[in-house]
Amino acid sequence: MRGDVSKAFEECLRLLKQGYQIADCVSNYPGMRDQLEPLLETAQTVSSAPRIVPSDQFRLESKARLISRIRQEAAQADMAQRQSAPASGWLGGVFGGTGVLAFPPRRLFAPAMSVMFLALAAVMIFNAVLALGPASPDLGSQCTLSLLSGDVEYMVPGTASWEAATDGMTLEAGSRVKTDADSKAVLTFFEGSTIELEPGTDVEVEQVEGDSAQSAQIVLKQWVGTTWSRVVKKVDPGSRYEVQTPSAYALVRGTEFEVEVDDTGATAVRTYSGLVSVIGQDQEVYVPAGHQVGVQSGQPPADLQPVPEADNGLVVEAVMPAVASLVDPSWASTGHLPSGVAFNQIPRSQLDCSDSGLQTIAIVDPIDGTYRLILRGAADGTARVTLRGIASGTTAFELSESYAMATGSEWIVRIDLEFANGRLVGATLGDIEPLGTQAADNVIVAPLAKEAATPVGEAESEQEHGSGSKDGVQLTPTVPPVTQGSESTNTDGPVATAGGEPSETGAGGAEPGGSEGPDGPTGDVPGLIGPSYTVRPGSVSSDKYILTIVAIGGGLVTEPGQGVFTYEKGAVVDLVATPKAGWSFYSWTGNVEDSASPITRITMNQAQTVTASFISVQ
Amino acid sequence: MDSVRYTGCQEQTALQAGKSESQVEAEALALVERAVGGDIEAFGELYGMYLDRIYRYIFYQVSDKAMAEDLTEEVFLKAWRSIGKYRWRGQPFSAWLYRIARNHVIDHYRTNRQHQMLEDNILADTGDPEREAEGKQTQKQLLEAISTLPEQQRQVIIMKFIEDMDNREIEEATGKSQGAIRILQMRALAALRQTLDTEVLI
Repeated sequence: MRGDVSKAFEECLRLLKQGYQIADCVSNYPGMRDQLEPLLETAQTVSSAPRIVPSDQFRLESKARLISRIRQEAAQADMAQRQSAPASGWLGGVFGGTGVLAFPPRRLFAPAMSVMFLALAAVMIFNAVLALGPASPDLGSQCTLSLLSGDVEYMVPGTASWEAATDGMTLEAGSRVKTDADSKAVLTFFEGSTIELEPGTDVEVEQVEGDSAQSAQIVLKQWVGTTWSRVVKKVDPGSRYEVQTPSAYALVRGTEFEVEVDDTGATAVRTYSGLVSVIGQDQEVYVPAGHQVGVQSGQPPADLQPVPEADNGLVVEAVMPAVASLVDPSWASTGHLPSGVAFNQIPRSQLDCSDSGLQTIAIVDPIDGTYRLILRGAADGTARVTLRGIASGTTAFELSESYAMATGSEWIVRIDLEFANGRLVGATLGDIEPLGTQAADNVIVAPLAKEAATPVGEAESEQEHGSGSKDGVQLTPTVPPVTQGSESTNTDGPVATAGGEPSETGAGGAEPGGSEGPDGPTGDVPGLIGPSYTVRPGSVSSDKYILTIVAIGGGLVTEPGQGVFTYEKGAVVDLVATPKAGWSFYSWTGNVEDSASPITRITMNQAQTVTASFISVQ
Repeated sequence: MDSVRYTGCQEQTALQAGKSESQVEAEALALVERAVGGDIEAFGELYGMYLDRIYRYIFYQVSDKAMAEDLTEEVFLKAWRSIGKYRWRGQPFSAWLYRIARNHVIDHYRTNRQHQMLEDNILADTGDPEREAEGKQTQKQLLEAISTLPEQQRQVIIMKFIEDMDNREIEEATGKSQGAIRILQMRALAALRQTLDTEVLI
């Protein structure tokens, strides 16, 4: 009687789950023992199979990817509805027939738009009310607009008129920014990522969310034009930075890439560092550094291509004790600070720093005009600077100059490029002048640099480094240059090998060109340029390690300070991040004990870098 | 019942936080309500709650890690697209997800039917490195044995003994009556017994 056996089998399974043995179970059904026993054994074998789980990588990435796809589809529905007028025929080709209108929309439409979609309005409002919930202040719900050149317009959410933008203004999610044929602008987000709008670009800030407790969610819609994104690598796997276009969207974490959208909505994505996922028509292509992919409207992404080599290049090399950065004619800058902070606002530029302190700044397709080389002295000594021009893959010219540097001094050298028939043929190096007299050129030290940090002596006297650190760790007030420090054997404690006084090494000491307009300093700018820390920590000797400490945004690492320090192997270093007024501590990156706490510790079992991030709370 | 199964693995379910099954289900339903209203974040939380189960269910069907990952994401995307149609009928939300997963895997097989040779490198993680080598061998034999079962038997075996669903949930997910499920599971176990016996696994 099969039915009886199956019921007995079910009962046995129930008993097994309660911890009984097979023999106990089948003893209740002596006549079915021969049938039940082997089946129960097999059932146990199957049940005790190894627990399969998704890989950690998949677990981390898939949710962000899925949510991104869902948002994208919802956004496409949103865009398709907005653009369903006959004049936007290309969108019909892109989004038509995809069924995306079935998706629950997330946002209330602007009144002007909802008129066009009366039939959907009731559903949308219902959904939006459910989805939005009570409004809560969001620390990271804004971004800062910096004007690099020309006239820039913006449109706030809920309106349909363009207004003249002002430098340094903050924009909320839903705002739109448009550059004209001669203007450029940069949007800086609270966590440090930036997007530069080249001339003729129209971008909408779709979403900017995040605070110290949650991940950063930045979504931009690029209607037309060219943008250059520099994305701060996010700690939280749920974070994302996404540029949507009419034909594709690019999803990244920690990278630099360019997006170009033409009048037909066709998109080209070029990656310069990191990895970008480009999705069009539900097909995804990963674009690694040095590659590009095109997406035509209504088509999946085309095949990967290498980014074509540039016609011209400008390479600046500087050696310690000078710390170099370069400002281009549009006031974007790329380079280092003595603290080790690197910043890069010049599209496609490359920045590198060797262990010996050789810094290389490479500009792809430099533009006609005056570049400004900023040199900061990390120590006393002579620094050699080499300037090399490249045209059609060959060296067109090379200039070298040596400059005497003093600790803490800041200098500027003008570089005028010469072009002939589009080829870079030469350059003229101007005289070196103190940076302080060049304020009119807007090469400034940002506000934090003027702020006093914890005096070195105090930090030293307060330091406790866990148990058993018999050497103790003392701050040495001397400031040898990196090249000496890395070879020094006199490294009992943290030696600031670059950067001088902590008060000079704040994150605000960067001169990101994007946050300065031609009219001079714009005051506090949240989210100064992000952490591409190309000062590579290296091992000093077999039992000592270098710790590089940097900060982003409005705040300082006040203990042990900022810069490069050397510790005994195994030393436990206390870290204290102190925000300035109007700012809040956000997080640490690096191998600290508690990345969410402003006071934490790190164990020096290897050379490492830690970064404190601060966000604006104003 | 679920709590017995899930405490031993890495799943990020609320069950690990000591919540009862009904609490978890109530939580899931609240999230479903929000997701139906268009709340993507709520759906993201549901994804986190059910990712492991749906992934494992699919993995046992397709025997390929990368394929299981792709299909898992697609299943959740489908779930989002049709979440407005979800109606609570006294069954766990997971049963609805399993039904989508089951249909999606069947569709996948219809279009990509081919014999899959099982290689070690396609096998999934168990989250237990020490048992990884031994586990992968067992996993491989078991996968091969399960893959030889007829489709309906395979579904029931995976749901019942891998996913630890009860017969009511399986009924909801497969549309089969509980009587039919009991018969299918016994046939499947008998067939597995025969296959695994020859490999001296039992």
